[in-house]
Amino acid sequence: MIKKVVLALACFSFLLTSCTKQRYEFDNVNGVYADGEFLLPLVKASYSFDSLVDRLQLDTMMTFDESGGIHYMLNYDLDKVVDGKKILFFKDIDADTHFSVPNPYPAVLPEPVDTTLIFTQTVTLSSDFISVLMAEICSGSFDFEISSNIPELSRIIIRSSEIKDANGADMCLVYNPSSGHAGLDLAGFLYETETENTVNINYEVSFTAYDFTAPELNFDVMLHVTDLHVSRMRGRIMNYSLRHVFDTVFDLFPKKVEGVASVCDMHVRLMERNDFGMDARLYIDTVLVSGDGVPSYTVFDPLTVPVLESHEFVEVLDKKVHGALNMVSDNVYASGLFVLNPEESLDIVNVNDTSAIDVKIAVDLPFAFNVQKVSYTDTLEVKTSDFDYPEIIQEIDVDLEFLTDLPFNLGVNVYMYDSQHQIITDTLTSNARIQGSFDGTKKASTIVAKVTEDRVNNVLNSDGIILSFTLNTDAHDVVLNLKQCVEFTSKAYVRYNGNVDFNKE
Amino acid sequence: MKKFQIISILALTFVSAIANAQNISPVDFMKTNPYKLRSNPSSDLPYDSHVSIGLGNICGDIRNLNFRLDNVFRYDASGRPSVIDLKNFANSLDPENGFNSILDLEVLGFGKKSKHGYVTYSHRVRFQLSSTISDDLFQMVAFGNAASTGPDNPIDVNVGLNALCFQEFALGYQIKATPHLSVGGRVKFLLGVGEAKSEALSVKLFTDCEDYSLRAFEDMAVRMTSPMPFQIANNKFEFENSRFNVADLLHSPGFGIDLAAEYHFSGHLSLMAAVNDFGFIRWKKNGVVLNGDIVDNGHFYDDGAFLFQGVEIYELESIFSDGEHQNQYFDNLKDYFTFETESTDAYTTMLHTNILLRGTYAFNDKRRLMSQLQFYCSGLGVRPALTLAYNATLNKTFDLCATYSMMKNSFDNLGFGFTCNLKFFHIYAATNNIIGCFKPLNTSGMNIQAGFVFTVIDKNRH
Repeated sequence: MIKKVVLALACFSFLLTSCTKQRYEFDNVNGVYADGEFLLPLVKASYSFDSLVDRLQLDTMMTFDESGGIHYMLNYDLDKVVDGKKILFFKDIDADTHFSVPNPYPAVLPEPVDTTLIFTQTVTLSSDFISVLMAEICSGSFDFEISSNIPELSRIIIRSSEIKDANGADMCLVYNPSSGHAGLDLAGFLYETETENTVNINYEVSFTAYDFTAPELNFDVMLHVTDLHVSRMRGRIMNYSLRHVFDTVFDLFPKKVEGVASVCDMHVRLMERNDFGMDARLYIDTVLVSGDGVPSYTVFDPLTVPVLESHEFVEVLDKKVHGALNMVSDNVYASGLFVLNPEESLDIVNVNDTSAIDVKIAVDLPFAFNVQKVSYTDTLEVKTSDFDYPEIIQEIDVDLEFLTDLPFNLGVNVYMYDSQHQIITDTLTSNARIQGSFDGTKKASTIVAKVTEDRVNNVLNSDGIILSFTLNTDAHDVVLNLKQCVEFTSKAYVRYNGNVDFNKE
Repeated sequence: MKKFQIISILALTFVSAIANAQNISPVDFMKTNPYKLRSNPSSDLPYDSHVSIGLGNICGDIRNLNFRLDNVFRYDASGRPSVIDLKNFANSLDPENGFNSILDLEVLGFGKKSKHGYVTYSHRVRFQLSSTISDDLFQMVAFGNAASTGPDNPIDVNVGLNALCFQEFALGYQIKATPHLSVGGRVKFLLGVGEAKSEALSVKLFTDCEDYSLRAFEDMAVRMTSPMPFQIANNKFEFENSRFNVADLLHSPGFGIDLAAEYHFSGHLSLMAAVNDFGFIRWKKNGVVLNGDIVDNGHFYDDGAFLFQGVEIYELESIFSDGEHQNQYFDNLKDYFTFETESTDAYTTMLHTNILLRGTYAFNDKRRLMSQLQFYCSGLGVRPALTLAYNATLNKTFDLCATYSMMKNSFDNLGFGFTCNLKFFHIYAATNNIIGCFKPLNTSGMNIQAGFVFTVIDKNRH
């Protein structure tokens, strides 16, 4: 009996140890404990140089040759450096002519006699640049002021056979003596003369002679020539010179790249179009370049460039130059003297006011340079804070491996960034180096970033990565090519240990 | 002879220390329970007849060799689970972890004593499931992949699956061939209901030592059959016909036999050997094979594998800053792992065969000590098992049985069963792990069997 009781108690005790309701209260579970290590590939990329072109926003300014050579092009168009409108005009003048003739009628006449006298005024139009035999007048005016001691003036007719209207009729203006003034708008008139720049104007003065005892008849004419421009002329162009200054700032790279590079084999090309119908010449006396960190220097010595007559653009200069450039922006100052008809030819030419000398400047900057220090900074929006990371990560080791044949060394700094508070939250790498290739073979480099437990939270709760590169060519003159590339892979070792709470807010 | 008896029992007991017990019910060891015939068709029953309808035998067996709730959690001072302990859980697993299940329902059964033996008939619906999973998946979740690098050391998530459901119509006969030898057997006509077996179901993940790239191989070949035609589309299982027809259950016939023999050396000692469920089913219709492989869905595909070497730099910003792009990116990754279904011709599967060796020492007519060695062949391997049992009949009314099973990492598997013999019927219930009934999530498994049977005693024997 006792044995049976003991056996029953033993069995019952087994049940007691098993039957624990609390053991199944799963609502009480509040987390997961884990302890382990993960090896993960992270990011890979293969950048050929043309992909960097997109990143640096250079595609509109670059050209590429067949072998993959890269050229950075700067183009400037200078329209109407020498403008025909600024040559084909006459200066404003006031031509004052006094006429005096003996009185043909000595005494009082028995009856009035209608008399017409003709006076001819020769006016020389004034211009520094043109001698005109024929011209189409596009603007300008003649204004007459006439005074006289002749009594009883009935009318004065002003004529010139050298100025004709659109219908071919001679200029004819009727002057009303009572008004004392007459004017004529010459727009649309044709001027043609046998003596360059001269106009003969006839004044037909009509009066009634009766009681005029003055011994002389006086007739004064004041001709105002105003704003006289021609749209087309036939004649001669005298030696015309004009100084032109080219002063501009050009941006080489977007603001992300800073520093100074020595540029090799830069080509400066000039193309000009001259449709004046005569040769011209350009004296380039000054070409200076300067920039932040780049002392001002002369790009090339003064030189003379012929600008022959041509209706199409013709290359007149192609010069190879060397120098240093600031990667952000540089100032170019150039000054030259354009001379039209430098030989002072007396040939008769036809010239329009649309004639001009146009200039195109092209700077071809091959990506061949020697760099001591150029820096580039970029920011990647990588909101690591958007992901929920368990707070048990104790260490993250990130390996960045590079394989490149780009011919420059890169110093790398990588920072984690909090844009909301505008602060750097962590420095992943500092002064790491990617070895460049100066012999055409691919070079491998590895950068290791270790993030220990106390920094993990900073790294994983950032919203940006700042990449800062410094570039140098180790005193080599290097040439960049589209086919050069950099391959990049990264991998991570993550160690974790601890509890992940389900109810973390 | 006595020495031989003792040595035999001790030898079996010794073997038990190194074997894994499973799929055992105390009913098998009861003297008067008609359903002991299930494991030993040659067993002698003291009845003239027995009948059961629907409730004669309801049997469920769950075998969970490795997963223990206590290994999953850490507990606080009051005994409540507080934290999921992945490390402890992963360490508690074996390289291969099994989960088996058996459900057995007798629809109709009866037996009748004949001139020389005992004739039985039963109609049963049976379900058998064997599955295994390697521990690599849990090892990776708990410990990461740093310990599994190199071309010869992948994380190998391997799943084995073998499930079978069928109807059994069995005609049995038991006879005492000689005074010492009893033999018995059953001829079974089978109708398959459904089947699923994995020829291959694995994912291997290689981590490269140098660049940490992850290379995954998928291998899936799972064969399935169901009564009605079905399809799997968009990861959903759907029957093509909405109406079920009884004729759908008649497509897959089979045949099986149970054989047993028991030899009584003396009035005390006997040895029994049995082979149960040796047979096959021919699946003729609605067979489908699910074949899975890595498909070429983009730049992550590499020579039959999914190769992840990192995110492309131009995608990095989009993934981190654009939620929609992020979802599309991960959806695209999932599309590399696909499967397709194709019809299969008729094929044959074997039943999960059970081989028993049992030694019995009868102290007297009412008390017996038994030791049984069992080999369960599930199609995913052979699993040996051993049980010690003590059976006692009290007042001709109660037939009690206590069992003790030893399993890997678990030593508290005490089983108990009883049969209550009333005048015209038996009611019985048994489990091979009474403690497990109270902590089912922390036990390696248990068997529960119960039923209600009408019986007529053989007056000649009583």
